Amino acid sequence: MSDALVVEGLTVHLGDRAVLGGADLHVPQGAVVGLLGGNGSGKSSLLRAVYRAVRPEAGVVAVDGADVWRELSARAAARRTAAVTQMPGPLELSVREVVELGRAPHASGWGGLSDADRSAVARAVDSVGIAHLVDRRCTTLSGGERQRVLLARALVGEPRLLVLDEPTNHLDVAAQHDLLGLVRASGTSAVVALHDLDLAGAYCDLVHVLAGGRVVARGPVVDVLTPDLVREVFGVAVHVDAHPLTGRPRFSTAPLTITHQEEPR
Amino acid sequence: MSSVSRPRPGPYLLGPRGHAALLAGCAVAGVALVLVGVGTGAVPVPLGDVVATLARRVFGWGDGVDLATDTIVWEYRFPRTLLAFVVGAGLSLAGVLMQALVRNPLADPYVLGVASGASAAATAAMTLGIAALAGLGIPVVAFAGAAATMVAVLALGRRNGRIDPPRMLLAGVAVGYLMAAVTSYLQLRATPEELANVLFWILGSLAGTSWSDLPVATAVVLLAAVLVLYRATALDLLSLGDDAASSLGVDLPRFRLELVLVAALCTGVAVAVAGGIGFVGLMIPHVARLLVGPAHRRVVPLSLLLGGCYLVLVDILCRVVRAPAELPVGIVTALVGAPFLIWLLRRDRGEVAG
Repeated sequence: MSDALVVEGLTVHLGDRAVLGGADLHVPQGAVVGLLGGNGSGKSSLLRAVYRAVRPEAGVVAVDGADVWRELSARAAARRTAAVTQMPGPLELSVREVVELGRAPHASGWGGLSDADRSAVARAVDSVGIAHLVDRRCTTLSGGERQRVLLARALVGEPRLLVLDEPTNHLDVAAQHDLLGLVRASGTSAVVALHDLDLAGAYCDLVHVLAGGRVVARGPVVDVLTPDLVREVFGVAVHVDAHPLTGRPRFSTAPLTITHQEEPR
Repeated sequence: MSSVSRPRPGPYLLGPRGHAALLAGCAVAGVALVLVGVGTGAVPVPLGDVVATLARRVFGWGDGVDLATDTIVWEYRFPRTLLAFVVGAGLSLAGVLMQALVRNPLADPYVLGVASGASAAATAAMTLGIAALAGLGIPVVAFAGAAATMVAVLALGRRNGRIDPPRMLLAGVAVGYLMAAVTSYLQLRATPEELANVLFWILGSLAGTSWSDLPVATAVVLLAAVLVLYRATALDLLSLGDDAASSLGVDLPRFRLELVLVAALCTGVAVAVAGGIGFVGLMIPHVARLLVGPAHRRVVPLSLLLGGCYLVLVDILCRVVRAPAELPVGIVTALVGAPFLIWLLRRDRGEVAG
């Protein structure tokens, strides 16, 4: 069986500037893969090329073995890949309407909802715990609730690949864990751009690290996020040990200027 | 919990049933307003005579009425009132599209500069006295001006070969001002008599409508309405953001071009036959969203009907308040629309603060 997502030699330009120059990324079936890298390293551009928001200059994006840009129409690609993107300001639509829009790639022209659509919506809102919110307007929700709505909108299309671009931004700690826990619980193959190394350690099977428009390291979290690589890519010192509560890798970061001998205050 | 949930009352002022009732109510009100509109004017025609005339002309029923009344009703009032409905519906539809396209509630059909282009061309035809231009008829010249402006704004509003909404908005405003300058210059050169005609046209008027004004405008608005209803889901997807819309299968560059062309066509034909009628395209979509929420499969039909009814009503007012003289339609739509806009701004700010 082919990987859920294969990205090879991906080159993306924004205007005249190359933000990605030959990036490679693999998401095995059922895996949650973290995409790490500093600001401006090209994480968003890579993900946008996967969910067809920006057309790459060169390279291949294949979801479940089908080339997203050469073999699939926009709608056919949308049936395979669902994205959790940022909401553009206030949205007056109700939660139910937003989740229903996630079925759009499956709908026929005049777009009435079938019974299959309705039950998919019911399952999706149940699975992320927002069934009690369906008749609320999105403008009235908290940040954590809004992200759950967007996750439900993505899951309702029954995609083979989830793409999440920094989904935990602006969320409180509990909501961050809730959201990534829900992504894992969905069982869907996923690629998640993250800034937080601890969240990557806690929820990702594999990570890829982007720097200078290329993937410079990939593999299991503890193998990839070594003190040397973290210093090189993120410009911070790090101490890695096992989280005392979960046993997952824990990253204690500090500015490079700090010395190891310095006593804690 | 059962797997399939039935539709429940939503979070909007009107639920599905209220929405259906409202649509039906608007349709009935539209017919009633058209009948009242046909009866209203310098020579009042009783409702019975209006109905009798239309029955004979449309269905061949009965003997109709005397020739003078028949002519007033059939040749002047009826096409005028129908055109008011079509123009109101078309401007409202264009407003819905522009607000969705630039994702800004303050957008209206005129932000593309199309109306200014039409006004400049029409003013040129009326003041320069070029026989060839005038011979085409003002609507044809005005539409040519609208189309030329649209092409210019499209060309300037692109980035990397694709429509970029903020850039297009700026291009529309800039080209609009340029065209307004041309219009002002032509007005300075005009004789007082020409100037009166120009002003009346620029402020919007349905006076002098004949049957020949109807077919093109009606066909464009109807076709646009069907196309937009077919694209209602894509319009909703656009409100989720560019990236979300792309990820859900909308071919964004093509869809944007489609929206701009349809909005500009609707605006162009409306301005060509009725001059610059402001605030309808801004106000009506908001009223519709207030009533039934922002989903386009509900907003679009309601905006078409509300916009049509509204402009028929305004046209009636314009003929009544200073009878036998007529007010330009644009003055009344602005008198109603400007306070509405202020209320809208204050309401939005209240929501953000609260």
